[in-house]
Amino acid sequence: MARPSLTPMLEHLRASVEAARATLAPEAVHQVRVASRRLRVFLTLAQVPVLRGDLRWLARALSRVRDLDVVLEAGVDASGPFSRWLRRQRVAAHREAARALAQPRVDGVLRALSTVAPLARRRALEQSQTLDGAVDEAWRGLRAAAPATVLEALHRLRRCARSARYAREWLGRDASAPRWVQEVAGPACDVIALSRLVREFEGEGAGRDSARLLAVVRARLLPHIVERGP
Amino acid sequence: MNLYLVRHAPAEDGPDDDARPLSKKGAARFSRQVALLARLGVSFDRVLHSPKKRAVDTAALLERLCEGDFEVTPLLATAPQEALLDACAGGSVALVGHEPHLSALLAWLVMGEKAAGRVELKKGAVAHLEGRPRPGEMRLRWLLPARVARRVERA
Repeated sequence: MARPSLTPMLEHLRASVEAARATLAPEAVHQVRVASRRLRVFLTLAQVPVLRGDLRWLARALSRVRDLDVVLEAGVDASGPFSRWLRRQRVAAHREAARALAQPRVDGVLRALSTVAPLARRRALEQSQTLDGAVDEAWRGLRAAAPATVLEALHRLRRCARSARYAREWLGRDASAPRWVQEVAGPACDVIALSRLVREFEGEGAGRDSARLLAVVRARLLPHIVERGP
Repeated sequence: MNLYLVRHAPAEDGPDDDARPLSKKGAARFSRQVALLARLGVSFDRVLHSPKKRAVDTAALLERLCEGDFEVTPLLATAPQEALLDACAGGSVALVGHEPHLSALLAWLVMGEKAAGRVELKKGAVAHLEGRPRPGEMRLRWLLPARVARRVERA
């Protein structure tokens, strides 16, 4: 069986970076983040200690734009002051993201990744199993979490599941279980992003309507997620 | 600040200059160099490295000495420029790169002029500079060729 190579995903990252540089369209930004995360997992499987930080930096540099896109697309408070504030924030986040994408570090990581060797399957499998174990641990953490920390525990579970899923996909293993966990826990991340933005909005002296809306979203989503454990 | 200029360890030959990995012997030699740096108490807040494979491999061997982030930059694969000096923020930073650019950088930082070859930096060598990372504002504390680590190990 051929050793898994990162070349197709690297090409996807390269194309997405070019598209994001040109327009900062929501889908291009999203694809840069997805490809960066998939490539980070590849480097984990390859036990390459460098370049992972560069990919993490790239994904984080676009995280605010992405969070704002998600919240705006969800139509929270569509015509109210919160939504207008979100749109202003997105303009500022665009500037920051464009600055990050123009940095030589982006071209450096693309260039360096093109020299990374295909995976050695046996060693990569051991790493993939370690990532599977992290998902189990995150589930235990979620079940033991106090109500105030459930969201953070869900967020951690989703991150672990995503890494385990990508690792399995790189190696051609069945990834349906971690993909399911990732999808089920997904709304928690949206709620966390929304919570942060609401706190920021209110910190600037605006009203409380958005906080009430957030409470409704949390009440609807979270019990449902926790009940659906593995 | 403390700035460490690190020339990559010996690499394999190959048609694609960017893709040449460290040779087994080169990696083993540089591992000895890293062990000696650890004994000298050297550690880094950040490691900046060139995107060329041999520099990436060399930077990876510095992992045990780095308490912070690794950062790839194409500025270390070309002649030294102001943007590279601006990127050197930190208390203890390593730059992993190539000749003749590293010795030109060393001369620029210590003597104020980009004169490659005034100091010999062999493969796997490390130069320790101290001061502000601006032209002519650093002083050379020591220069450690890779062969010293071999001799220390044999002693």
